[in-house]
Amino acid sequence: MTDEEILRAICAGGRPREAAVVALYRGHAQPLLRFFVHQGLGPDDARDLLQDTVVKIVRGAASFDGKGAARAWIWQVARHALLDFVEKRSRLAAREAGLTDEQWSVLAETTPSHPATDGAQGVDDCVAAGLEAFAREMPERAYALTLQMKGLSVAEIAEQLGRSPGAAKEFLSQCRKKIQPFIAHCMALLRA
Amino acid sequence: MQPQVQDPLPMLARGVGVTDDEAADAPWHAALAGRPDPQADPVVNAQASALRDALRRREVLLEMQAPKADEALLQQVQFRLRREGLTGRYPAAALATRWPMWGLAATVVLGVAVYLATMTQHTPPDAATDVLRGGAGSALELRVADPQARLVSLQAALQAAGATPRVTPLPDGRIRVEVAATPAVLDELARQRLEPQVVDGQMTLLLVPTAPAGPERRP
Repeated sequence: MTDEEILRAICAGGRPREAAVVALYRGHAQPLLRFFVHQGLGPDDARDLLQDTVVKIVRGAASFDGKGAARAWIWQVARHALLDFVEKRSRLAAREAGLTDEQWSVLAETTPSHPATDGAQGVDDCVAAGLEAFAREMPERAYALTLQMKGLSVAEIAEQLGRSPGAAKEFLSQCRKKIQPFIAHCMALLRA
Repeated sequence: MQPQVQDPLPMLARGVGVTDDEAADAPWHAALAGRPDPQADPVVNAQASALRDALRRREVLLEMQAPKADEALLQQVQFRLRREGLTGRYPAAALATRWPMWGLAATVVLGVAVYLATMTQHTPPDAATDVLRGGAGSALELRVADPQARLVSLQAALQAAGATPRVTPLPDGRIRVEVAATPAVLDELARQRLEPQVVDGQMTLLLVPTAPAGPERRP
């Protein structure tokens, strides 16, 4: 069952909807759970959020106009559910998740470098520590870099980010710049 | 002689009409994806490769933390959908579209079916008056006027669903009901608008009197 067929069956209601929910779960539950954990949620919250997401998909399937990819629409619903969930859980987290690119830029520029490196600490440890700090502050960007590390195409990454391919490419470009304050200083260890 | 195949990304970076950003991005992103360009700046390659390794290690750790999308979680999702009235019933609109095809006999059958469905899916009167609370720990707390009477109806419903609930009277008139979370029990509880937390395949409900039982205590 394709994602488009799943959404159509959900709209049909009755037994087709029940079968479609199972197909939706089989195809998307594990990637969504992984996505939620990447965004900083614990296992229990990730399970709760998966339920919220499926409910939102079932409720909103009729609003899918069929113009874009159903998979991208499903991921967009998941991202919105995540934002709602974070907003409920923590006002601070909601504020971070709602920052514009310009605000992120200011945040990145004002984020101090991570000086907890000395000659004994290797580049790998330094980069790992920088990545952790980056992921805490910008989980979605860290997730996007993870997808790229795994070799996904820009189009595939765009679907999961709920963006157009062009916007995803720009987002990835911004990710490279925004992670620099967190890891650029590690390169000095290479030269040392 | 085979032509040498080159990675398109670094080639793009060196191409005409490519912005500075794209030229800087391409080798870094290529190395991050595990396809470093040997002719790119070694520092760029080293940074992206180190980040790639860090991302892979982090991915392994997060993978261990991510819950598994197993059958138990699927059941919880299905339970939630039934509870919210999104599955388990057939929408009136779907029936209406087929209506002209049905004859008089079908109308009678449908009438009987709807009547039976309404009767069987109606929320029990007891459940309608329950007040739900989170309860301590994983127990679902129901504040009811008469815990003993509520227990009788709850126990009957659970037994009809094939379960053998364990009932424990507690101080202050409270009653603890523990029952295995089978699909039939989950369905029955959903019909009563109850969704206790499932822990190790078990659910606990706590019937709590709305007024304290026993003689009034004075300080």
